[in-house]
Amino acid sequence: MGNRVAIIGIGQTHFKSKRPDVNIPEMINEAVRAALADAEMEIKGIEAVFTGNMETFEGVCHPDHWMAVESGAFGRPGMKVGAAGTTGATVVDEAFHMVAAGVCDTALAIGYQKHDQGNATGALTTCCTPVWGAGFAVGAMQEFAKQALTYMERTGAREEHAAMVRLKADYGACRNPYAHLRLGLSSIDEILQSAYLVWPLRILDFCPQSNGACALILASEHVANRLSNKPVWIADMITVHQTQFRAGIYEDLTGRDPYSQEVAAARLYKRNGITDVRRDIDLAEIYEPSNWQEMTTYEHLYFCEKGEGWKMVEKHMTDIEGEFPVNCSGGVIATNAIGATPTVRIAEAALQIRGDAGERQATRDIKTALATALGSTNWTILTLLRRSL
Amino acid sequence: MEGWTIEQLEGKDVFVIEGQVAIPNNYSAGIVGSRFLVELRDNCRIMGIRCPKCDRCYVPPKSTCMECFGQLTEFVEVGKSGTLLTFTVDHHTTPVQTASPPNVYGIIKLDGADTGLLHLIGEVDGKAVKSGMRLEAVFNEERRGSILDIKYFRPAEAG
Amino acid sequence: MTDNAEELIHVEYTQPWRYRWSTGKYIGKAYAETKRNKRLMGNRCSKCQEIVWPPEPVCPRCKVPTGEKWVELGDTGTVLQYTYQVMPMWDPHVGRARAHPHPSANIRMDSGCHIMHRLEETDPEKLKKVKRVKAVWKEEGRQGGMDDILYFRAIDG
Ligand SMILES: [Zn+2]
Ligand SMILES: [Zn+2]
Repeated sequence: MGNRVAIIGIGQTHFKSKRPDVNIPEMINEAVRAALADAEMEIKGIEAVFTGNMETFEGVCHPDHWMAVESGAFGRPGMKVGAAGTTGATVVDEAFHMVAAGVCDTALAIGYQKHDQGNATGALTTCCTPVWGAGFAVGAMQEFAKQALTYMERTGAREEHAAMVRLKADYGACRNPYAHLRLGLSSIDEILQSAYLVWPLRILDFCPQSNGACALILASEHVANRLSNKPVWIADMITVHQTQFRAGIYEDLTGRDPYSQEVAAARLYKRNGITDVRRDIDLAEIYEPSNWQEMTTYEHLYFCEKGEGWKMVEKHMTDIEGEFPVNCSGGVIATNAIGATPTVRIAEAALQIRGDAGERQATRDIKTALATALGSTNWTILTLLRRSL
Repeated sequence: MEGWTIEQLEGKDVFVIEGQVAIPNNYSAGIVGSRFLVELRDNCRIMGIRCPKCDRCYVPPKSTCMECFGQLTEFVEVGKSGTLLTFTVDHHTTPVQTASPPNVYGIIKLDGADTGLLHLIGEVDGKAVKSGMRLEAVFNEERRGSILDIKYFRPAEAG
Repeated sequence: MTDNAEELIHVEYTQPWRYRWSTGKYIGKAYAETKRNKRLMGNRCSKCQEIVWPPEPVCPRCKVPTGEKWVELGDTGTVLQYTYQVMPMWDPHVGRARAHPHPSANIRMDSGCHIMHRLEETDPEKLKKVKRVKAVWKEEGRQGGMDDILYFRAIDG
């Protein structure tokens, strides 16, 4: 490993379904200003800037060129990063590597998405070329649906458990002023009555399309210790890619190839001496584009035994007040500005470690947290954060 | 399959799929950009935004100063006339062009502005256009809140 | 911020992007076989001997050149999982929203390969019983590719 790196500034916009009052650069600027204010820094203290979104979603080629002033990139090094759904973590990873390598002492990482400017489902379908499979692809939803069915068949989980995940997410979102969908749901019945989108998944099983940005300021150890009285240390980041045709999009129905999240988690835990996940990690912010993914992700990340993710939900273990809180923020099913989503996971995990998560702060003390990113054909990025190294 | 055609290359087991991707987009001008466009449409006024700290006026207006990163709010009207900084004459045709070629594109520093504005230059032969010449805005009769509410810039009357 | 009285300008614009995508030689071979011979063909990895599907120049497991030992996948298989779309969604290739009438399925072919395709059956209740399936090929107008198979039909045993 290189130099130690800390998160010293966290900023995010209030995520909403429509933002006609800003263009993309102005929207990003809100998050950048918030991160600078949080770090009590000025833009001249930033040495490099990394930005990223889901390409083609907003119909702008080279969006980074349009926003150089507002992102802070004007006159500085850095780049636009594109790694599908994991982009928001890849921007942080790039900044992390630059600071860890000693190339710079401070770096700004920005993930964003302005969904109201395009059509995400249409743009996602272009991930599949007509050469191979575009006629079969309807975004990722059909794969989510098939995964949910397989999960029910294999484990005994029921639709009620997915609804419980949604209810838990809404509880967190209602306590998170930045969250997009804050529905105030009071029972799982409301969720089980929402309309089918792709059988057996309902509208309320899915994330919304949100607009917003999230910015993080990373700093080297000596700068972090000088500038910040509550740095959150990035203990490790890990990326694992997977090829698209060897697995179902979000679950390997062949049961043969290892799943990227499992591979990433096993490597991360080994590298960081984590032998009992729920003892050695206090909280997680995971990328669950539908409530069903939350339960399978618990299993992929070894929070529990295979087939038992739904039991953690049923026992309320992952509630804000629970012994192993997951997605206190309301998670992705409450807020999904795709390019910003993994950045938000890291931001929210860091806020929990700082004790700055307000009403959504976990009941137990959070010293170590895990943030995940998931995108495209099973690409995974995991980030391990600690209050002290 | 609907939406595209598949063609086999002659004598080869290689195929080319031809079609198109069409995604509806909806571009937001934002508050600052909207003010600029509304003023063009309703009042034929060209608005800039000024950074009081750097004493710089941006046209079109933007919300962040490129010098000091300050948040800008001070709208000022700039002149409808200005000086041509540089230009090019475009002879080829693309589907997104608004007028048939040749088109003269110029970067114009309006009176009172500190930045150049990209626009079309009209009512003049491309060969007669010179950097440093004075130009004035010609507005369309029907305006819809677009940068093209300015039809083009034309050579200004002497003086 | 969004609910103030100021007028906000936006521009709606759909710019169609033309493309010409090439299959390349490996998928091209698969296309040629569906078009000419109504059969699905993959290439067998020279190292692990597994069928790579869709055919690729490099085996994803062994990371070695697969070579051109072509083998048939066959027409029959077992449905592992399926779903169907209830709400129409935007399809950029046709430039409008639509819901595909046929369910999407993951099928394990008897040769061991896994493919994604559509099912003929559209009745939600009857679908639950669909396990064994067989490809139904287009008799006319095959152009190459997976759409040369209309869908998979339920069969006995
Ligand atoms: Zn300034
Ligand atoms: Zn092999």
